[in-house]
Amino acid sequence: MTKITYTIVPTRTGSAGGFVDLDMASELSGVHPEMILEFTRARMVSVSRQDESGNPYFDDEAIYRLRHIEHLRNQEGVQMRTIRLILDLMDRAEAAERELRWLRERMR
Amino acid sequence: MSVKFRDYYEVLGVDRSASQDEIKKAFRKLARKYHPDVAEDKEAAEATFKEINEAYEVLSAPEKREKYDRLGHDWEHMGDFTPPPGAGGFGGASPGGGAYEYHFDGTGFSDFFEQLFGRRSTRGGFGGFNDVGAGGGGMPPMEMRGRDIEAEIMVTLEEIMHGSTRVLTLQRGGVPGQSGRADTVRVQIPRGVCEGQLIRCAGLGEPGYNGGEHGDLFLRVFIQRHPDFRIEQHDLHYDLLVAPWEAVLGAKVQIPTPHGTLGLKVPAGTANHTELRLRGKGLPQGAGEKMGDLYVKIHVEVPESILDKDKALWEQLANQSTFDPRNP
Repeated sequence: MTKITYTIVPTRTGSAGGFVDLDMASELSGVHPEMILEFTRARMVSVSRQDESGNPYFDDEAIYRLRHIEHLRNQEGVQMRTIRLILDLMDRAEAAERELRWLRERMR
Repeated sequence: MSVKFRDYYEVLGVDRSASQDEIKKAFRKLARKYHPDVAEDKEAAEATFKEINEAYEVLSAPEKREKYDRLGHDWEHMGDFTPPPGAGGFGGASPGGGAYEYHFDGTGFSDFFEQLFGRRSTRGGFGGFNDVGAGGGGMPPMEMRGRDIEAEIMVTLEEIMHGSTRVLTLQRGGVPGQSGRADTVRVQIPRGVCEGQLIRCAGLGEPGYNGGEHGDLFLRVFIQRHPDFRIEQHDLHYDLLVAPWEAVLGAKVQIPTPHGTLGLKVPAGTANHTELRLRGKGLPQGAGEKMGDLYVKIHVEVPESILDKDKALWEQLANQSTFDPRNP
């Protein structure tokens, strides 16, 4: 078994909790900037913050979702409406799981 | 890959038929004893604390407990086990061929937990090795980015407060022509992360094809249970148990917080379940200085059994008090 050691060097693309602008989000996800804006309008991807001129910035979650959408669209051939449904169900399941974990802890 | 069976009931020291309440009590008791903040031998305590946490994570959730009871039983008798298909979302065959299996070390979950409940998967832009270069006759091989890897990582309260660097060992197996390679990677857990947050570690996914970039590693944050606090986003919730006379007369108490022990004044005449807010004594909200709050909920405890001496005092109060809760 060979061992390879990597060390993470902070780079422009290594956001680790940070934010990226629209162009970088596009580069990282392979989704066209116009499409990204379309997804944000459709509330499939959320904008983490905006600067004074209203330019959107995205977090790791957004990059993850964009790649997910791309994957479903291109590799699985899933239609946009269905992707919306899948994302929505995944969000609900995750929110429900989180809430359940919290509520169970609250019972005493 | 074979993995050692873990007896979660034994870890918590409870019976197989233990109620949810008994399990919670056992966890709190053990977690206080072995919490790395209080234990003397920190390293040993940390390992034990992780085990306790994991056992509690499974046994406190009925659906996980049921799965553990059902699947764990057979494996226990088989000794070290190789998980049967459908045991969990571990590894996973990717569409288009090439079954992948990953094995992590250092995420805070044991191999056993990962096998049973892990949700790790790969998802990437590309169909797999079979598809590489499948663009037809004369097309040059396409440069493609490697797959992303997803995993969960257990994060402690301490790490939320200060951030940390974690060392993960990632073993890749089952990839054709690439037998069991272990990569050690360092990942940054930023200060102020919250439950469910994704951390993207650039370039730590699968290697790309034909000179393409590496995929990324996405870690989903899972916050370790704490014996004293419940964590909600950036706020902390603490249950403060007080004696009836403390609620009536008021009291000064010491409470633990991630910012150190704080003195708290319980005002006279505090009703049961009153919530006091300590502004800014919660967890950091992201990397900046902004902090969440600490909510202290008052629980007036009634003694289960009392000494004769105490009983006489209560009786004296009962005879002379003008307080009548049903006729105020």
